Amino acid sequence: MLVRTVRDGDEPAIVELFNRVYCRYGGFVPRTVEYWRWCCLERPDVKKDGVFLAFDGGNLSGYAVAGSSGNIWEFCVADGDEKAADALLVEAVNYLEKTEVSSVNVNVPGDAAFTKSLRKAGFGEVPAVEMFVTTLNPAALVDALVTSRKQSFVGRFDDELAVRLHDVPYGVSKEFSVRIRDASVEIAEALTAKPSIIVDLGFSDFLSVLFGGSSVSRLFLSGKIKVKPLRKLFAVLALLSAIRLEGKWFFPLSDFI
Amino acid sequence: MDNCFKCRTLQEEDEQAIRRLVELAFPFLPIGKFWDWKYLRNPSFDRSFVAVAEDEGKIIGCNHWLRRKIKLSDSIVVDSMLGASIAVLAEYRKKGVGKALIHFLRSQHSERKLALMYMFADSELRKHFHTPVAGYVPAPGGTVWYRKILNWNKVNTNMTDFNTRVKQGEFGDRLNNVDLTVVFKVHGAPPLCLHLDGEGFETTSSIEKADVTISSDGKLFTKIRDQQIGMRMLIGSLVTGRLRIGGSPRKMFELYKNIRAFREILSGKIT
Repeated sequence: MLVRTVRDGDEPAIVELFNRVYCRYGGFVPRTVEYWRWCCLERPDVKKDGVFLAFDGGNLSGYAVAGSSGNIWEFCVADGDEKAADALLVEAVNYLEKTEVSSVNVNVPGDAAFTKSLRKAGFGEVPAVEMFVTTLNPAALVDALVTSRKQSFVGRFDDELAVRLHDVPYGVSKEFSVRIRDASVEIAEALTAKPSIIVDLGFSDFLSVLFGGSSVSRLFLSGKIKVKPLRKLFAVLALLSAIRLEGKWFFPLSDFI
Repeated sequence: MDNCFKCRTLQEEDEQAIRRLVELAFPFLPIGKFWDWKYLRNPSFDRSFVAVAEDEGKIIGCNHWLRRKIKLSDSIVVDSMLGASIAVLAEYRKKGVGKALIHFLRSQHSERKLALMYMFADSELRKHFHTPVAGYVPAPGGTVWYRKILNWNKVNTNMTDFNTRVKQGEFGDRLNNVDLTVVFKVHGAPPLCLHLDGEGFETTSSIEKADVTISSDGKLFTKIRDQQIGMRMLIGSLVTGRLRIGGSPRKMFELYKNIRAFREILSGKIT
């Protein structure tokens, strides 16, 4: 295990590692060399001697970006490489101790293997700032979610849905339509003339369903989603369940400030 | 004053005023460097995504949007907007400036068909401002924050302020009969041993002579300090051993009587 500070030319390997390690999460900016340079290397409190890279047999197995404000802006270790995690934490904490900060902060996915290393190094979980989402264009959001899952709709639906949202915030469109036929899915901002299904729900309930905060069936049972005709209820539940986001989200500190 | 201000997009000549405004609103950020780095040097910075509110030529508020690509899941990446740095001068707060800034940017960019906007905030601010104004809901969870406390230097600063107020007689004779040493053992932090008497607080290294010992994890410690914990959760934490309090009943009662003093020096930013 070799640990050294960052050098010019390390960026492509760093970016590749970050995108690979965190590929199963949503909620962060996929790294490019340009973005990583700006959000880590050029950050006002980061110097090159605070960016540590761990190598195992010549391959980059982890890195930590420590800023003199006491934040480890990015901490990324290839799955299961406990030695790299331990070594990087020692380097980063030693570096920050010299800057005389009062504490060291880092955020990681809660289910990451290296949380064990953090606890071993004396880190404790703390309450923190959260991430929140909204949309200016519900049709565009549904389009993004539907497009990637189009194949799962083939043969399951043959409907034109009119979705009417209430309690929408300023500047947000109140309705959109979804037309599903065979393998084709079309999302439009306007309502279709003769929809086969009409769905009414609140804007925040709509977002909560898509982002995994509320269950579709629970919203229906509490009267928060209304479907006409009722016999199409299961088609609506199946569609919303198919496009809702189920995975975990992770945002590194470097995306936060 | 409520209706005098108007909103417009950022001009080059506003930059100095905006820099100052953001520094005032976010004093924990590096002075003079932060705004330039986050916005001017940001590869995706666009002046048309920054709104300023002005009152008779004076910049009183600003709201920044930053264009970013964001992952929604393992296979979906969308164009999105980060709603960042919303700042309003203290004397203009609660007058609708923040809401007007958000509405202005939304009306300016309504044709962009933005699938996703996101932002970071504490839950209280989100509940009272961001959700009613912009419809924000919690993003899927999964991120956990960790902290390692290296020293208690900031508590020392709070103690010095407190002791000055004791000398000035602000507490009358309330502390005259106090003689109490409390050690806080917070997971991931060096022990903090505080002695309180008629002259105020001092740190001491004689942990073994402490009258009361309080042990907890960092998350619980922060919640207790910020009074975010009710009696039921406090008792639950004691029962489960997440919070441990040791000492003689007399000394624990003395701590209870003087809890405000301890809370004062442990409140705010202490690490």
